[in-house]
This record gives sequence, structure tokens and C-alpha cells, in this order.
Amino acid sequence: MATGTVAVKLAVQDVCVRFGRRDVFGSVSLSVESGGVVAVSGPNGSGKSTLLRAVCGLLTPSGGAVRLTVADRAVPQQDVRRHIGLAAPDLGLYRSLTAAEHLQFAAQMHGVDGSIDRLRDLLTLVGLRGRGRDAVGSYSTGMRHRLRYALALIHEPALLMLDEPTANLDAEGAAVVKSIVERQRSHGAVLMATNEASETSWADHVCVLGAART
Amino acid sequence: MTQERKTVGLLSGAYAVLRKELQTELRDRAALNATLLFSVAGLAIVAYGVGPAVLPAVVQSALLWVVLFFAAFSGLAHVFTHEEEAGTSAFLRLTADAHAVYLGKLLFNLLLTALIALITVPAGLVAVSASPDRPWMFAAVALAGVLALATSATVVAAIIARAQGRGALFGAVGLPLLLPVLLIAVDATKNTLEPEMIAGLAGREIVGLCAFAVMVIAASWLVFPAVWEE
Repeated sequence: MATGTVAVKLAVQDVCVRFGRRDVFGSVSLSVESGGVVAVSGPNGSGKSTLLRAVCGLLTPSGGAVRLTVADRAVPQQDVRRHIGLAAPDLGLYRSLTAAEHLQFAAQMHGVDGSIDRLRDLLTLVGLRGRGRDAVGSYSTGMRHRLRYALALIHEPALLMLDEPTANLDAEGAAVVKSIVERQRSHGAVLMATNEASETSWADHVCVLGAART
Repeated sequence: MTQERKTVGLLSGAYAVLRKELQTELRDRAALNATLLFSVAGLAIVAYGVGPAVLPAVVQSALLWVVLFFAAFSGLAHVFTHEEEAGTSAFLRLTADAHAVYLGKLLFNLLLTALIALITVPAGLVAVSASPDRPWMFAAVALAGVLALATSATVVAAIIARAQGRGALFGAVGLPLLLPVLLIAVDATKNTLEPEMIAGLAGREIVGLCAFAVMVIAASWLVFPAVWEE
């Protein structure tokens, strides 16, 4: 799969998220630009995953602003997800659908090539070649996480967001993730949430979130 | 070279969602099994209770809609609740346009309700010993009722899917929306089962049910993105 560079800039300004009376985090600012890899780190409950969800629009921040610019154009909120790929361990998959069906569905929804050759390329990239016709219910936890990478990459997003990038993956899977992160540098940018030192070492900058407050 | 993107049309997106729903349902049969269980159990109870007795048309009509309503409702909520329970809603939110999701799931619920009606209504007519004089008018009433039932249940399911205690909430939110549909449907069906059927009355009620469905779809279209995204 060939890739080209996309000028992307993510600016998170004073974003805070509150669940009821509890502040998950308050006033977080960071930015990621083309070719950059930024890691968000912090103790359990500090809101790393929540921050990623706020960035990709899965939840609305209680305050602050998230701005995504792609090819020097501000992306309207409703279109942000078209430019973002998220791979997170708690992103559920349909147990009765096959990996190929997941990918075909995502390709159709994103309006990108969902041909067998392309799906095979993606499955090969994440180490699932030959398993595309198996139902996801028969997959191990690590295989499901690999499929999440294929789904996150199917539309070649400008911004790749990874929550616990190598969770549940073996050494070979972790190497695949590292290569995906490096590839993404030449295509766009990466924002990841992790506490693993081996993963934060891939990043140019590390943003540390504080402990949860009540 | 980046992936060339086509603009995804609403119908194309809705078709993809519908296909996904059909694929998962045909393999898991979660909604289908529940609705079939309620249909068969409901019909068996009605047939046993009614026996050879000839009931007034209004009672026959009410029994038919009670069976259809419970059978349909046991499965229709599933279309959204299973996404939340399986944790797949985030994937769907990231991938699909909200209106495509709504339309795809509405079409799935319409197909499911029509299938249930196809099984339940003829069997129900036998169970309550009813025979409509004008079968086509009766079928039109059933079809309009199915349309109104499925459209109402779909938006209620979307609203309650992310709430705690969604089972109880489904009844609380669904009742005010569905009661008018059921009352009109029972009255319309009664009119088609009467020996001296008043075609004009049944016709007006068919229009009423269709208008109700159109209004619910229009309102759902407006509120669904907010319900789905938050």
C-alpha cells in the first residue's frame, strides 16, 4: 500500500472532561503535526483514553476546543472521524462477522477501495493473512487488536490514534505496531495513549496527565 | 498516493448498515429467536384461551395486535441495545454517518417486523377464528401498523440504548409513543374484520397510521444524530 504525506495538525486547547461531579482531567493542551508522534501518559484513571475519545468525537469535552486541520483546511466537527483512525483495545467488534466483512463495511462507509487485494494487503500488514474469512468470535484477543489496526488504517487517516498500542500483542505484534507508527510518520501524525516506556520511546513528545481528581 | 475517496451516499451507507445487521442477525439470531418465541407462545395462549368461541371483532383485533406488539417489541430494541452491550457502538460511530445508521437500522426493523407479521398475522387470524371480508384492506392495515410500530420502536430503542436500566426505560419511553399507534391499529383492524366493513373508516385509519409513521421518521431524522453521538 502506497502512502503520501498529508499535512495535518491537531490542536487540543484547554480541553477538560467531567463525568458528573468528577473531573477526569482539566485543561489539557497539546498539538501534533505531520510527521509527529505524541504520547499521552499518566497513571490509571488520569484520562488518557478519555482524551483520545474526546479528540475523535466519541465524547464531547466539558470545556476547551479540539481543532483538526488537514491539507491546511479546518475540518468541521462532523467530518473529523473521516480523517482519524482509532485503534483501542475496548473498541468492540462483531463476533459473528469475519475480518474481511468488517473491513469491507468500513471501506464502504469511508468510500475507499474495499477490493479483495486491498483487504489482503491490510490483513498481511497486521499479520492476519489467511484469517480474513474467519469469524472474529474465533479470534484471540491479540488477533482482534490486530484487526483494529487494519480497520483504523483502511481509509489511510491523516491522524492515527492508538490507545495502549501493544496491549494483548505478542513481540511480533508489537513490532508490527512499531512499523505502523513509523509508516504513519511519513503519511500523517500519531497520537497515542500509553504507560509503556517502550511505546513512549517512539514519541517525539510525551504529554503527562495528572492523577484523577475528585 | 493516498486512498482515493468517494463521497458515500446516504443510501449506500444505509445499505451497508442494513447488510451488516442482516449478516449478524442471520448468524446470531438474537432478535429473531426472541420474537419467534413470543409469537409462538402468544399465539398458542390465544388459541388455547379462545378455543372454538367466536369473539367480537374488536376483541379479535386487540388479540392480534397484542401478540404482534409483544413479538415485535422483544426484538426491535435489540437493533441498538446489542451495539451497546457488545461495545460495537463506538466502532459504528467512528465508521458510519449517523443518518446512514438510522436508516439502515430502521430498514432492518421494518424487515424484521414485516417478517414477524407475515408469520403472526395469518396464524393469529386462525387462532381467533377471524376471516376478513376484504383481505387486501386487512393486509393494508397490517402493513401500515407494522410501519408505524417499527418506526416508533426504532427511535425509542435508539434513545434508551445508552441508558442504565434500559429494559424498564423502553416501556416508559415507548408506551406514550406506541399506545396511539396500537389504538388506531386495533380500531382499523376491527373495521376490516366487521361483517359490514366500513371501507372509508379503515382507509382513514391506514392514512393515519402512515402519517404517524412519517412524522416519527421526520422527528427521528432530526433528533437521531444528537441521540447517537452523545
